[in-house]
Amino acid sequence: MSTINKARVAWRQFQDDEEGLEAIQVVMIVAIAAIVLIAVMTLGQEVFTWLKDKWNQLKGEDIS
Amino acid sequence: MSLAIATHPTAHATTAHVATAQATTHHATTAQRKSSTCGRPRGYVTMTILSGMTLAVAWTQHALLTQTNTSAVFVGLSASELLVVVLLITASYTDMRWQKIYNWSIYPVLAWSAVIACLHSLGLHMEVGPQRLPVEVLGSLGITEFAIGTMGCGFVMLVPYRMAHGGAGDVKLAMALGGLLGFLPALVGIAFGYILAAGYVLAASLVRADLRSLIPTLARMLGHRCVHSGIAPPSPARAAALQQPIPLAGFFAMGVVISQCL
Repeated sequence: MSTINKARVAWRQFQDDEEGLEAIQVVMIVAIAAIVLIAVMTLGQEVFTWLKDKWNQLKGEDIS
Repeated sequence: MSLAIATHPTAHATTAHVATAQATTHHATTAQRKSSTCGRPRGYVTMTILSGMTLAVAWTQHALLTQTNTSAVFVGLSASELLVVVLLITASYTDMRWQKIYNWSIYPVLAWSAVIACLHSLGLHMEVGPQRLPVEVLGSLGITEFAIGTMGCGFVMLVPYRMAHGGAGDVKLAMALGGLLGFLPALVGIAFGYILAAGYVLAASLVRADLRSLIPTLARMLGHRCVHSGIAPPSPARAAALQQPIPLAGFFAMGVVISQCL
């Protein structure tokens, strides 16, 4: 079967599949990933700024 | 003779059982076919009209607000936001009722959101009588944001779909949400939806008193997938409990509402 035919069959399967169900294990795994995503989105900038400040403190001032 | 008398009712029972099973299978197949195809053209027409009506509702809101001079700027829901409401209510109902998110509820909304995005990108204003409909009444996404939202959310949702062979209805719903809300707001709404669904699963297992088996089974399954040889997989009975399906559209709806309110 050629690549185009495979793609066509895959698209047809996707198009005909109208199921709205997801397995519990998938829901739980994606929920863990979602918590990480939201935590990164809300705290990411603060963590980045804090690390940058610490790095600047660690480097100190250039006295030369 | 005694054998004949003894076997006769059994034979009748077997025949009756087979007939009942055949009838049940036939009814189930017919019902399945009916639920999957019944009202499909009518559904497309209804959803297209309903989606188109959101434009009229958005304009009416705008006209009322400007006429009554309650606010100098438009504060009502835009046509895109109204489309999200229509889509989520329809998808949640069909998902809870028939465990399906029908194409007829997704494609008309996607088409309308594409039209709205095109109008927004072209900056067209619609003249309706003395009223001038600004593009903000339609929505805030241009055609580029629409494309990024649709494709982005589709690709993100394709990962669990391909890995776990889940339902494609959820993928299409996520694509429509991405096209209406934009990539990041839709992604956050979907993420909240998954978190709410996981919370529901935990609460349900707490009620059924099998929470103590759910979390270790999930941890064992994850551990086995990550460290293949080190950790034994969960027993088939416990693994089957993790395969139980739940409808997600209602949780996506709640997630989108929460993400939009935050």
